[in-house]
Order: sequence, then structure tokens, then C-alpha cells
Amino acid sequence: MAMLPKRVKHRKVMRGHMKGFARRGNRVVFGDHGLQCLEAGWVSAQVIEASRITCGRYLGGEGRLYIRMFPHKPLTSKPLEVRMGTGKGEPDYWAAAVRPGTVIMEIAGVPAEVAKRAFARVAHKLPVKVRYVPRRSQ
Amino acid sequence: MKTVPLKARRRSEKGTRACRRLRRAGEIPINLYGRHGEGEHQNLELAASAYDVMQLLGKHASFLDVTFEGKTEMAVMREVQRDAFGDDVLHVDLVMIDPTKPVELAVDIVIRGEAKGQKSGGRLLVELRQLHASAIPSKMPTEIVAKVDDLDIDGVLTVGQLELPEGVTVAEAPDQIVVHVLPPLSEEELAAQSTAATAAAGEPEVIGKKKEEEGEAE
Repeated sequence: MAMLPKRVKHRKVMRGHMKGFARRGNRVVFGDHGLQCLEAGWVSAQVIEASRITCGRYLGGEGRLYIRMFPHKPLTSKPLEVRMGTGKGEPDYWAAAVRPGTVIMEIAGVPAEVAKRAFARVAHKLPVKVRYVPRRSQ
Repeated sequence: MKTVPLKARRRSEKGTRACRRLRRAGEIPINLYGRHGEGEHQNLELAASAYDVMQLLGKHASFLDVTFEGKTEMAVMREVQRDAFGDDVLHVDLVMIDPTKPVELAVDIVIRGEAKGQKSGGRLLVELRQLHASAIPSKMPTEIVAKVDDLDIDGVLTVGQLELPEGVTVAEAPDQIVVHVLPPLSEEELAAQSTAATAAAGEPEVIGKKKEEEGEAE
């Protein structure tokens, strides 16, 4: 199931800005290996689900996967062949806004080589550039 | 745990822009604070070569002999600030320590061996990666070894079961789990992990919307 919030304050929100770097959520905390964003973007709930499935299939029941992003942002669209104006469109999909530096996924309990290969498969799904980062003790 | 030397110099310049100039010149701003023996609390601004500091971090060295202005102070790393990507070190906080008094440090737990449960398909999960150990500097271990060979499926290794060196105490509760061997995933769980789940149901609830509608109805 593509993720979406249970309760929201507003059905529609403004697009917002994606400037600056991730000042939190930028370290590997839960697992041994992380996937870090190198640019800002919106990762849709559908893409997050596709990434989870891809990673799950590659790991084949080994280790543990942590998804550290959640699609909090509703994004709207207008139907086809509708003239501009007459208000904002209806909510279409949900996305997670990520900033450069955000660690979006983590894997625990597998060797680094396996995690790298799993993340390489996930990277093909994602709309942002990413890289592998290991856990640091300090 | 061994003590590693670090050459530093006193810096007179302070503030954001001065620190940025330092970093451009290949140095890292360091704050060294604490008490020397029974003396007064001090806060000294130092700078050291970025290369030397990165080398130290690579060695997982925790006790440092910081040399500046002809003096040597024994210190421990309290905090390392990094940039958003975690690549560059921006600032280091060092605390002076007394070699004769106990000091508290985060010591890495190293997992050794292969659990019995792993051989029969179980998954080894590490729940705790560091211990807050307290000991005098000469007795502080570099790492604490967790031997997992005897762990079967559903077996756990707790803090109380770890072999601690003599003179070392830890702040964590003895029943806190360090390593856990989970059973292998069932076929249903495996299928759920690798297939898309059912479609999401509608839109989320909007906070306060129902109340308004009820108010209008009245």
C-alpha cells in the first residue's frame, strides 16, 4: 500500500521551497548502511513503495530495512482538457520532500556489498541522486 | 585504549567568519574545556590541522594528548560536528580529563562469531551499538566484544551477559538487549515484503472538518 497520512490539518498545501541542506535526519541511525540523497526533490508514495519492494526482493528475507521518509505532502493536479483558473486542483498523490543529505533508507544485518547492490537497484527508481553511506560511530 | 598525540595552536579569532577562514586554510576549530586537576574551569580556543583530526577519527582514538603552547593536556572527544553530508568535520569539542579519575565514554560493541540461529536461517539484529562505559583512562577498553556463537533463534544477548574488562562499569541496564536473533521470515511475510500491498483507502481525515460540518447542521 502506498503510504499516506492518517490525519492531516489541510487537504491541500502550497508547493513550498526546497532550499538548503538536511540539518537533521542526515546520519545513519538505525541500520549499518544508509542511502543518502544528494539533491532535493519530491519522492512520491508510489516510488517509496516501489523502492521497498525492490529492496525487499533483493534482500530476500535477510537483514532489516528501515524507510526514513514519509509522504506528508499532498500534491494536486487538474484533470486533462481543463482550462487554467477556477481554483487549485484536487489532491493527486502524496510525496516526501527530501533535502540534500537526508538518509532516506537504511539496512541492518547484511554485509556492505549486499546493501550497496540493493541500494543500486533502489537508486534506479528514485527521482533524486543518491549515494551509499556507512554508519559512523562519531 | 591508547592515547594519541594531537598538535594544536591557540587561536585568537572567534566567530563564524573566522572559523570559515580557518577551514579554508585547512584547519579545524577546536574547543578544549574542563578543569586541569583541581584548578578552575577553562575554555580554550584551539585550531588543529584538518588532516590530523580526520586521521584521528579514522583510528577511533578517544584519548588525546593535546599539545599547544608547550603544554600537554589529556583530553577526550566530546562532540564532532560534521557538514550536512557527514563528510567534512566542522568543529570538535574536547574535554580535559584527569588520568587518575574515572571518565565516561561511548565504547563501540563489536560482534564476534556467527550465531547458531543464523546457521539455521535466523537473522541477527544488533539493537545496541555502543555502551557508556566508565573507567580510569588506563583501563578504558577500545571496544567491548559481544560473542554471539551460542545464540539460537529467538536468543538474546543482554548488557549483563557481556564480558567487561576489570574496572569498567556501564551506564546501561543489565537487561538491555544488545543482539537479537530473529526467526526467518515466514512465506507470507516474505511475500508481503516483495509485493505491493492493497490500494490505499481514500483520503486522510482532515482535522477539525467534521466538527465544522456538525456545527453547520445544527
